[in-house]
Amino acid sequence: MSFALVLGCLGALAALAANVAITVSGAPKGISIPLRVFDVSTSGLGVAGVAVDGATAEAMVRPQGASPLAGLLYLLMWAPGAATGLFALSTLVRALRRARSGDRALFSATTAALLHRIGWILIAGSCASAALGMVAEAALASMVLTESHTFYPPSDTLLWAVVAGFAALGVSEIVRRGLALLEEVEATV
Amino acid sequence: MGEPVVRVRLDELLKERGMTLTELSHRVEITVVNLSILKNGHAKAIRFSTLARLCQALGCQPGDLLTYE
Repeated sequence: MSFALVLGCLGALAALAANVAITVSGAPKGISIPLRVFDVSTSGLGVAGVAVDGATAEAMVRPQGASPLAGLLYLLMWAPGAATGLFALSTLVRALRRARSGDRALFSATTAALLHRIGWILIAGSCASAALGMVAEAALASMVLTESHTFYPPSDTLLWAVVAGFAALGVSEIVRRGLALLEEVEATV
Repeated sequence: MGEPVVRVRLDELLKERGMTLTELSHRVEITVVNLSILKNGHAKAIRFSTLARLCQALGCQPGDLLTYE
């Protein structure tokens, strides 16, 4: 889990460096901003006898020259989600580190509190990221694409993060009630 | 006003019978630590089997052992 956290931090740093490059000097070759494009032409996409009703694609946009506003909007598209994920992962690492001291340390009120915190980080962080991302993506698309939309639905990843947040809250409640039960059993003579 | 509690009158009963906690522990086959937990009011619950053994060893009724305050 610590390895995943380190990899996540490195990935976020790389994305931040790319973001700074876009903001300060324009996107160099190989670095681009992914923007969703809806209503892509579907003619010739399906085989005979199959109708293709719609297609969504990802356009890789590369601003030429410094574009601070594009950089800022792109930052709002990915950074809140990445920060939420890293914060939740670091809290999970803290909780699991307690397992080294034995099962008793792992199944404790502290672990229940940490799981509770992870749940709310994921729920609140994902909702905030989704809201910021939708606004930023719409604004950025209107800046750099000839055709853009006013509403860009949040990605599936963020929706699953909210589900994971509720799951963490559920596990935290199970641990909390289990601890109360254990305390009661242990205090029975 | 404090929350009402059920108190175990182990101290008084032992004193009345001139018995020590260690002696009672041997008779009822319950560790001194657990008897101390009972005596000091730190127990959250008591098994019927424990209560029966204590009553047998002390020659009393459950009502003599427990008081509601």
